[in-house]
Amino acid sequence: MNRLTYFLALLSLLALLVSAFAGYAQDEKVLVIGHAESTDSLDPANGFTGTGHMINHVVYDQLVTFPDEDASQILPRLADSWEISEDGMTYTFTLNPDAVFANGDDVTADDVVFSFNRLKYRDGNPSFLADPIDSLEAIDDDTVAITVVEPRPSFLSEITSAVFSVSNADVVRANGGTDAMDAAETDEAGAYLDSQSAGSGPYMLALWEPQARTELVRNENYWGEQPYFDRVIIINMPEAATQKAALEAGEIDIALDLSSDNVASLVGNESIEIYRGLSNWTHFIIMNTDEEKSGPFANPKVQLAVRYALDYEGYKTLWGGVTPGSNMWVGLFTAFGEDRAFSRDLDKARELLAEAGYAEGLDMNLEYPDFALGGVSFNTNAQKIQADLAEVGINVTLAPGELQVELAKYRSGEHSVGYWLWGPDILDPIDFTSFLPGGKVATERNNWQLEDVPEDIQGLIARARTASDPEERMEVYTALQEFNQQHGPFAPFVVPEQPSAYLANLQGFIFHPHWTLDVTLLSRADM
Amino acid sequence: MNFFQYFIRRALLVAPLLLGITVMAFLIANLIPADPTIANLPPNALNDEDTIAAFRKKWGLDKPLHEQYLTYLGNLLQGDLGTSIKTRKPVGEDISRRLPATIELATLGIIFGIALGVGLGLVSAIWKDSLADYAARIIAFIGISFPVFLLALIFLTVFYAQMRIAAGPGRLDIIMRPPPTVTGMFTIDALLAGDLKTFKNAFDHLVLPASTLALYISAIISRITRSSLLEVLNQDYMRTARAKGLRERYVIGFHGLRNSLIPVVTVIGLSYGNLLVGSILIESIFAYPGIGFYMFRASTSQDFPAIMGVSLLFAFIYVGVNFVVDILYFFLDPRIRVA
Repeated sequence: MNRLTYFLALLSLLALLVSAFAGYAQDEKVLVIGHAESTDSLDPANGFTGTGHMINHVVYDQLVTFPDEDASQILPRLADSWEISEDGMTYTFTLNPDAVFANGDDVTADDVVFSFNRLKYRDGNPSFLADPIDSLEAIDDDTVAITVVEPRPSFLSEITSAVFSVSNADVVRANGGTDAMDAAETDEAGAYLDSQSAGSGPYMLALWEPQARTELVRNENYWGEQPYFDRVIIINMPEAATQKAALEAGEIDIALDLSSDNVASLVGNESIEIYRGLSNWTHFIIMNTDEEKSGPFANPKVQLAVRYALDYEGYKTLWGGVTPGSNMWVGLFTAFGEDRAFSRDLDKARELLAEAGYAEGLDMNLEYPDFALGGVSFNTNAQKIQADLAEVGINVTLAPGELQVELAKYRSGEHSVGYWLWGPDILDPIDFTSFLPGGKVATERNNWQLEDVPEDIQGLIARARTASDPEERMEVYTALQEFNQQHGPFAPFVVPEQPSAYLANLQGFIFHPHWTLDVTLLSRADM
Repeated sequence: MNFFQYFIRRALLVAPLLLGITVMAFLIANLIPADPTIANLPPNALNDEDTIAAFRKKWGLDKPLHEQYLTYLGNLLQGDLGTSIKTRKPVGEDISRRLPATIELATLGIIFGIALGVGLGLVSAIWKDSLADYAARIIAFIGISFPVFLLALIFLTVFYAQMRIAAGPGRLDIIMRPPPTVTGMFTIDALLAGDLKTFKNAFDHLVLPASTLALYISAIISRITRSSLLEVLNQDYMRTARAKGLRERYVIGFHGLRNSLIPVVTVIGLSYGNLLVGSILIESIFAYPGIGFYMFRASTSQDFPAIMGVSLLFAFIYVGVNFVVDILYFFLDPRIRVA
């Protein structure tokens, strides 16, 4: 024991002697983000995670992009302009002639063809997103034509994704990459792209230590406006509480993944700003339209009664955010927001139940995962649903289960009444077709068949899948959302807020539903 | 029985134990009613049959369970632990990169833990039923009954975020760069490079997580030390030692503590299991990129090859430590030599 004490004392003494500082250059402007990293790969054609999107959004350029804060329109990025053929099958993009890669090479139409084909044939997690592409053609250095398999009104929204990043074909090829049809077996550029980038964006990947840290450095050759920070460090902190502690200690600039309960204790801290953006999750009740599975809850009148019985204001008090008007995420073009949302009307709910023959009350088995996302607890909401519905005579039995188990049941449409959440796969109104007969959630998961709805609605659903004119889309999606409100088997009840917090001297923080955070918008005020 | 016979007999028990562990770990990892495709593929990729089929084929999930196990065992015997689904790197490589960090943390944790545990145990036993005894027992009680992740969070919030007297998450301050890699243990590598600033920083970052681990394992060590020492203190030879006129310090230190050590050593061996389990939660909260952190991530994403790899490593360490404990008995307890 004595020897140990001596050793420890010696160590501490040594430690007190100061030696050379092994850190970054003092005048470098460094941004540090605490984040629960989800990266699986930083190869744009292979990775498919939130963190990957945040990084590749600024390391690579995409042909087109969204505005800084939402998905309300399509803006130019690598492509200056584009044309869509009459039949909606061919998209022709004209590239910005100034665009260059970080190594100085020109960004050409060939690079676009290579990158998209590589995505398509690489067989990575995001490859299915390129399935709608039939063929690509480099017309000249700055013009590329993309033909789709069938008219696809959401195509421009889809290619804003970092998955459709344009990479330097020469560099990727030189490091084992290929866009050949057998790329799934022969492409070997993954390891290279996990450690360095081959893009034309404002930053370059300097380091990725999986599950520990990612570092980006400014691309001095960037063809657009230079960002403020020289270096961006993303530190993996899986626990929100850890992020919060590190932010309070001033060691990180941004705590990206906080939840409502963490944020509460930061209120009043003058050196910290709280950002309450809208999450892109819609929480909803889903009632199986197969009577064998859900009994009375297959009845549209009972489904409507459930929608009238929920205490919408109560969920907002719990989690912040807004009440959605439909299952289309409220940030999308044509989506019903709070002005078109349901309000609680208990009399109306009781009346509907009586009309359906359940004046004496009925039983519901509510199946949901024992799970929390962004601090929003399924258990808490389920208990509130139980209390809300009890007021109209629906006696709810809570049936929580392990996430993966419940998910399997839900995906195969085996549940009776479920409680789930949904984040848009595509930031386009077309995503809502999942909740219409023939769509993924409505039919595969809830047995709601096309023949169950009137013919005019069937016609509207078909138009929703092909219409690209904004006015027509507005008309079609409005009608369909109204139909679901009155006759659908879903009860969406809250889109909770997604809080983040950052040091008060940071400026330009905006949460984006697709890439989470665009670090090029950030700067630091002089204190 | 001589030492050699004893050693061989103990060593022979280890091999079937490890084989049994591979079977158990494999079954547990595979029989949970969860689908790794759901955990590892993004939700919208799950509509695509081809993507799912390709995923199952790539990771061998399309084969029957016994075949998967035999393939795994075959590869294992050649030193191949497979490839992690999540990091897409060989599990052996992932483990060897993260293991030094955990060794560094666990070593300091066990040193702190033994010092605290034996110390508290001594205090409790010598001043039995005094205020000091109660205080020591309360500390032990907290250590054993508090969830370790909660303890870690409290330490982090109080000493790092609020009081700012301890270093926070990670292995180094964020703006510091790691020392040149020799052993992978930052404290040792920094010393080898003669970089005292980095050494201090790395050491500072170990203090909070190691203290949490220490408190967690010290509880049981202190309880055993206390009861074992109390038993020894009532022995005739203790009274004889005192009657001989030996100083109290010598009576307790030499005659008392040494004779009460056997159960304590056993418990330290067993505590190593707690230490490894504790590291899974503690490393996650301290964002400390070691094996525990890796295991946490692997478990939540059903990354079977990684889960298997770490389970085997943990089992191997646990069996190894307890093997050493068995060998230590031979020296501590003369009766084993006779038996």
